[in-house]
Amino acid sequence: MGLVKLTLKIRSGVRLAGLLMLSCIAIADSGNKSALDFRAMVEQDINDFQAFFKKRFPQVEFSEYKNGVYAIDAASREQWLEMEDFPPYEFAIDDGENLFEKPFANGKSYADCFDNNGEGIRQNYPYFDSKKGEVITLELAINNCREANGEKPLAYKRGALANLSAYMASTSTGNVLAIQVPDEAAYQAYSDGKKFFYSKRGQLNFSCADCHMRVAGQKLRADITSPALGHPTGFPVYRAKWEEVGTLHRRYAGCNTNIRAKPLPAQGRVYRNLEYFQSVMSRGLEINGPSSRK
Amino acid sequence: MNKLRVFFIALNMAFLLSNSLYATADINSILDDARISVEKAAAKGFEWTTTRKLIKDAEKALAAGDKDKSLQLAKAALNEAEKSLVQASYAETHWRAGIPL
Repeated sequence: MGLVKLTLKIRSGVRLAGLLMLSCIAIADSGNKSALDFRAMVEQDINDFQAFFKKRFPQVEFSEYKNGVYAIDAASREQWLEMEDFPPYEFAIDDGENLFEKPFANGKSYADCFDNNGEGIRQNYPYFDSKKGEVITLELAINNCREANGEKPLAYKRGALANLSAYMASTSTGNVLAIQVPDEAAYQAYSDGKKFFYSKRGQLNFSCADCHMRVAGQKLRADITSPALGHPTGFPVYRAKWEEVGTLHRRYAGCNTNIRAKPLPAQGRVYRNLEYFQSVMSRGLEINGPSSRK
Repeated sequence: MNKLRVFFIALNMAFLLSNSLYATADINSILDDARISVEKAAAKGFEWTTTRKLIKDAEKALAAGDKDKSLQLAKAALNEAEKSLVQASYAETHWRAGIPL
């Protein structure tokens, strides 16, 4: 009798252990599947996004999208090339270099905060910081560096910060944008940026995609809208309208104002996620910032 | 005859007075609703650039005693604020419909 009970207990124990093992395998499997899924979904998004422009502008080489509207409109390109003979952003680069090399009050400098002393790293931004759980753009990293060294943060849209960013971008010319989505938290930030990009907003009820995908290359009033592919590669940019160099988030705010949507804070989480999404979509394009735009 | 005339004048004045009092309360109520809605839209990141100006202009017109203009502006502000909320709610559930792929 005792032997029978013992055998039954052992059998139950084995069954329980088996069930536990199966559940562990199932959980691990679902984790891997989920991880595979979000990576596959990002890859699919990139392929679809880039294929959209290939179909829309079959004559345009992929590498040309780094040049914004000048990749798709010959007349604008001609004017732009003439302007590039005397690049209007050169002063910003010089000023940015001086600022970059000037030590902080504690004797340290920007070079101490960045990989490779801050040279040739623009293509690695924005990235998702898994420890902080947020997207870090180059401009945010510059201000984080300042604050870590006891300096006051700079204004995000123009001036010293835009010039520093311009200098750092200039040291990265030709490097290829390869922004990754490393984990599920990053995928959430990426998805938030994607949702913003495709959501209609403002009194005019336009989304980013309406102007920069649906009617890219067509005229909105006097301007030809640029393709969304490659948007982040040339920033910061000198705009004739601004008469100075400005950051990508300044441009986001301007776009939002144009469609009568109240702009959101520069370097706030929403615009950083949008920049993250746009940068992932532009994977494979070269950094050519700073650049000039209308 | 005179009594009848006095009665109608009094009645008319009462109507005018009550209409004026009603309009002020009505405008303030509409403006309150517009303010609440615009704050909600702002919290969702969907505020329009034009709505707060309409509210401000309605307040100015009301302070200047131009109730007709104020009422019109307050209604326009509320209409915009509510539309921006509808836009936010639509985007929340239908943003994928905006993907032109």
